[in-house]
Amino acid sequence: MLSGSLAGAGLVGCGQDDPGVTADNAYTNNHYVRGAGYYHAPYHAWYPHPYNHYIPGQGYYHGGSWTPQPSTHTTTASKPTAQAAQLATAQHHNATRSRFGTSRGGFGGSSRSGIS
Amino acid sequence: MERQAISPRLDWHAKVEEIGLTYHTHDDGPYWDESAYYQFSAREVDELEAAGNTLHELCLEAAGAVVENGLWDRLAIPKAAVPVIQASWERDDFSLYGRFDLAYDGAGPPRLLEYNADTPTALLEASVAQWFWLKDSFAAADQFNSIHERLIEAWKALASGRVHFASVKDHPEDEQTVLYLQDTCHQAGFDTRRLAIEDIGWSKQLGRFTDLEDEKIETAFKLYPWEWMWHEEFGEHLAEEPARFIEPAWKMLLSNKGLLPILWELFPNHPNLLPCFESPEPLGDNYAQKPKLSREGANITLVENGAPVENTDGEYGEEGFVYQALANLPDFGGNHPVMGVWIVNHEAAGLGIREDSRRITGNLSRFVPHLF
Repeated sequence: MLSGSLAGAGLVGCGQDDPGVTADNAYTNNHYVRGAGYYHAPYHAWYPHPYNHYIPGQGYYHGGSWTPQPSTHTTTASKPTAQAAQLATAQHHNATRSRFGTSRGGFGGSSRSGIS
Repeated sequence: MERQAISPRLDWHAKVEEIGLTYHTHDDGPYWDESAYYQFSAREVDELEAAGNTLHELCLEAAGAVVENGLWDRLAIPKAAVPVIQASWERDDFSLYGRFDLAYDGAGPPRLLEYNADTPTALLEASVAQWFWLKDSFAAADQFNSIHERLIEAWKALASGRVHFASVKDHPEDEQTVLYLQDTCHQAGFDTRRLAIEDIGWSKQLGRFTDLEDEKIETAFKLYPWEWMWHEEFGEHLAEEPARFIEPAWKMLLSNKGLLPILWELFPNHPNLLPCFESPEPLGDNYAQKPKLSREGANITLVENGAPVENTDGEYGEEGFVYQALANLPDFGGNHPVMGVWIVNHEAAGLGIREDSRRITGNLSRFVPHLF
């Protein structure tokens, strides 16, 4: 649920790859920016793994740390800090300027319901 | 070999989710099923382990015969893939794992149904979930299971600094399986990176596959079948061998059911093999028709007395079929178990059991733990 402080601000959901991140917009958990990673709303910044991403033996990832238990923070959307927005924008530009004429999506088209 | 009923752990949902088995239940019921377990004797476990090691050796010999004699058409191998497979075979490219599906009733010898040598799943269940079940439920008992330790040890044989791990998007079972394997690689001391198979890039300028940061992919574990990769847009770049994949290209020979008739020709009447041919006639009126390339038990037909008695749907079969003698699957109160013997770094390392009320094991068949 959005907090009152976000009323009137633009809200950008997860699953989008939006290079135009600003400190004026609010972003939901796991809003993805290529090069910057996934937005963690309680921490107001982007990180390389999704919020509460779990890896056996490592734990749950949130705010740049791994912990044995998942984060139970109630904030699911927030505005990034100005510094985090600037960094994410720069990281996105670095990652997407196609320095090497890269194309994507050439694998995965045969994907069916299960592997083996 | 016995099937025993047991009360599931009260908090089993949380317990298996905690170790990453988030796909424990499907729409039609449980996939992870700890309301029963299979109990083996030490002799039976030895027999399954020996069968796994023997069959892996036989499959390597059969694959060698394919390479040596150019039997590519019998496996419907794409022409462009042949030199890549040959080179991979000659280099003996690193192979991490595979899973034999065996018919076994504790009386006769285990018999090969198929070898999931390229993209086997049900790994986390076999390696971790059933081990914790054992420790919670029968702490003094043992289990045919050193998969986890063997995986970590196996990675150490890999000559690479960084390993990318790729699976298809939005498929929890595949994602969790690859996460688990990534963890074993990380524990072996490697720098690991994760990306979706759909996000793999091709850089014209570099002539290389790249990740989302435009960094070169040198070595990639992919939970994605080779035969699909060859037929997709980026398949044309595979011939340039711009990256090493795990499983390697030569595993296309072992994961192909077209190898089953070749095995029977090379090793006729071997106790761990079922008769298998490229036409049904030698088997008379009773056989299983299997596509050379298929997954999750799709497009299989069981024929008895000349008539189909059981079949599964699917999208496979365009590469042709093989015809295998019907296996004598045991029947425990209407449950038919199939033994999944895991091979890690060329050695038998553990067992995972799937059971179903049908005789064809499919993607909804239940995983049931075991002990001895």
